Amino acid sequence: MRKILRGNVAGWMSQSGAVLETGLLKVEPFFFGPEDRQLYGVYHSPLSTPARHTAVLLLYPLGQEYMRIHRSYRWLADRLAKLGFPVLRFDYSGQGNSAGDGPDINSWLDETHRAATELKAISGLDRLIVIGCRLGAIIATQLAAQVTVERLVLWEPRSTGRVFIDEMNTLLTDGDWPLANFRAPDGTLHFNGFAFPQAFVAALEQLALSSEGLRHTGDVLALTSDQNLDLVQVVPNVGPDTTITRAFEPGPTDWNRVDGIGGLFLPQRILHVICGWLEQSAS
Amino acid sequence: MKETIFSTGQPQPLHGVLTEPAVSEPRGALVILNSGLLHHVGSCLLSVRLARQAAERGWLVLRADASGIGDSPARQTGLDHEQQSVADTLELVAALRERHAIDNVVLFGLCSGAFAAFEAALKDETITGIAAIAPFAFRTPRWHMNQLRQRFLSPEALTRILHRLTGHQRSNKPHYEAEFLEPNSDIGWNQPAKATLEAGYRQLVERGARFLNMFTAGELVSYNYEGQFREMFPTLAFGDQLEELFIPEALHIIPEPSYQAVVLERTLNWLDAHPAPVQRETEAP
Repeated sequence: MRKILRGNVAGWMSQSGAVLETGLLKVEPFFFGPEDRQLYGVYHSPLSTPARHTAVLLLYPLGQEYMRIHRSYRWLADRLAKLGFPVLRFDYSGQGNSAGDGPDINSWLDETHRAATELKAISGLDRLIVIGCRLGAIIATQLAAQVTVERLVLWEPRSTGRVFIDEMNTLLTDGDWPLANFRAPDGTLHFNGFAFPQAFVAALEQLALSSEGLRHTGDVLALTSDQNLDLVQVVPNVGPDTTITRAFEPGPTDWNRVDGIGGLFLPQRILHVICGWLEQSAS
Repeated sequence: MKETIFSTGQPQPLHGVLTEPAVSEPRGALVILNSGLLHHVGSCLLSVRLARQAAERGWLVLRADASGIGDSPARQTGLDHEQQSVADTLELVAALRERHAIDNVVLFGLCSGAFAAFEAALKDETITGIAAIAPFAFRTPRWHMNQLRQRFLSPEALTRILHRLTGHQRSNKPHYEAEFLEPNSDIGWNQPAKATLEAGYRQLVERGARFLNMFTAGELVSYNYEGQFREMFPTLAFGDQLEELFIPEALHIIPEPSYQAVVLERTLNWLDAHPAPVQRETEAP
């Protein structure tokens, strides 16, 4: 049975204009982690006083999706900081500004754990909210299986990493951008300007949304813009101690087809819904 | 090679990443600018790769975000995007020069980054070169000839004509879900008049600045053969101060690994050939 709220999420739309602080936002990029494999993070200090008691960790999706969502995450982090949340977003190794030559799922899981620890240390808060988009949603549940996470926001989640590989393979078959999107003789999947070695693809195929992580989390918001996605199947009920709210909001559904200038997503309704949900549910 | 955070300006700083070479005295500084709204990792990580590889060759490299882009907060200055981009570029160059005592600065930019680089170079004499992808270009008579040939005599043109005669339906263009994209309209640049651009290049050429101008399929509307840039300005004596590269199959954001490698190699070779600044003699008191 599908239980997806449609059009009922307007109540969560952030009332930002009325309640937000208007001071200057403090955005602090920094490197953390081992010196030979340092990670790039950006910390957004909370603006409102008194600040909230929960810190927010943002987890990026994969490859070109990271590029496309960066501006949305920046917007989200700023807005949450104005709502009083300390926020950290960081680049996985081999992606963005962090050290490393290529992607490695197991490293990314470790780094996410490290980032959570870093965020707690900087903010002085032990309570954690994690927001993950696409692959970031899977990684968020994996983190929640290891550390205490109060709330999870799963933006356009998928049940396994295999789905992302399938999506890429479909575009490879369609022949879009054949010089950019192809599988090299060594098995490396080149897609939209990013390279995914065979070992990474194999590890990604094995990665799945963690039921244990969902079970350990008190409150989960799963958001999709894909009308064909069965969110109940993707994010199943896991027990009486976890409240899972599933919602549909208009937003991007094709994350892989990029226009000639690398069009960046800024789906305002979805971002406002995330802020509104956290504003009302988190302390 | 070492990477650190570089921030400058108050109360709303510009943020970026400084990649320092292992050598104590860098060959010069390379400042990599934003491309449109893409943050300082660059299109398909091009800026990160260029920064790290240039640092391995002895360059001090800064890739930073202009106001309101990427990780830099928006400044409330009242300037439009063009003016702000140039002001930010000059601020970054000045901060880098001040902290690292370097007076040999090269700029790298793709699209809007190329435009900002050109304008900034006109205002700061320590900028000695520009490596640009998709700088402003103007059509020449040969461009029109190539265009006619492409439109009516190429295999693609013949296929198109055949399809039209047989009633073949063209497939729908991919849908990019534009309603969810950040609009680029606020960050568009107005192409300057040809005479204005020519005067600017003349000033820079006379100053000894060097140029590497690269073009992709994204610029076919104004550029379609290698050597066109030089032909655009026949009265300018570019000499060996101008290099051109045309990659007609590459897309504007260069997601193709092979073409990104070409751009990187050509830019690094161009940097290798960049002369150290002439030491100015101190004037007698």
